[in-house]
Amino acid sequence: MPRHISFSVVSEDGEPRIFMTGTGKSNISFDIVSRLSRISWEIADNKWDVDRAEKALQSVKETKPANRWWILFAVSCANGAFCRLFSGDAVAAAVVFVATMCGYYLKQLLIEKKVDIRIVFAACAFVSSVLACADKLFSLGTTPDIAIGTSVLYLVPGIPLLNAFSDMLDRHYICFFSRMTDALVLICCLSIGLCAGMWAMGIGMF
Amino acid sequence: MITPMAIWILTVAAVATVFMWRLLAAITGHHKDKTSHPFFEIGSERAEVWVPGDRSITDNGDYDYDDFE
Repeated sequence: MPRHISFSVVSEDGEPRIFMTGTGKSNISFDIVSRLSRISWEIADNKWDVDRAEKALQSVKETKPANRWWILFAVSCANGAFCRLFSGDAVAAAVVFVATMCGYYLKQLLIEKKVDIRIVFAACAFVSSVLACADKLFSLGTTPDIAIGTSVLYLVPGIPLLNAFSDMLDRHYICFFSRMTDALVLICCLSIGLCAGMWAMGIGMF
Repeated sequence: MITPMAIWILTVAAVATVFMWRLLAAITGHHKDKTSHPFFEIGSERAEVWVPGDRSITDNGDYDYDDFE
C-alpha cells in the first residue's frame, strides 16, 4: 500500500508547490469512507473553501469507531443473507451466521493482539469453514456446500479490490499493482484457510 | 484416528474456550495486559536492519518533509 502521498498544486501566481506526507494506518471504516467521499464531492461540486473542507475533515477524523459487538452482529447477518442469496436454505443461513460470528470474533481478537493479518485471514477462514461444515456433518439442511462456500465471504477484501480497479481505470498503475497484490495475498490466505478446513473435514474440493 | 467430527468438536471447543476466557477476563477486569507482546508481528524496517551504533532513522533527510509545508 502507498506509504507516502505526494501532492502537487500550482498557486495563482503560477508557482508550483509540492507537499509530501506519510500515510497513517487505520482500519477500514465504511462510515469514514462514505463521509470522505461526500466531502470530496462537496468540494468538487459546491466549491467548498479550504477552511470549510478542513473543518469537515477534522470532524471525520474524530469519528469514533463503531461498536464492535454491533459490527459482529451486522457482519454475521450480512453473511447469512449472502448464503440465502446463493440459494442456501434457512438452516444453511443460520449455520453461516454462527460460523461467521465465531470467525469474525476471532478476527477482531487476533487483530487486537496485533497478529499478522495474513495469519488472521487463514485462521478465520479455517474456523469458519470448519464450523459451517456442521450443516453437512449433522445433515441439518439440504444445501451444505453453499453454507461452506459462503461462510468465508466476509473475509473477501472488497475495498482494496474496488480501489485497485478504480486505480487501474484512472491509470494509476503502481498504486493499482500495490493494492491488487495486497488484496490477492489476503485472498490466497483466505483460500489456504478454506482449503485446510475442507480438507480437515474430509470434503472434496472438486 | 482423527475424524472430521473430532476436528469439528475441537474447533468448537477452542472457539468456546477463547470466548469464555475473554468473557471472564472482561468481567474480572484482567484483560488489559500492558506488558503483553505480540506473538507474531511484522518487524519495522528499523527493527530489522538497525544495529547499535547506527544513526537514528529520524536523521534521514529523505523523510524530512518540513521544508515542503
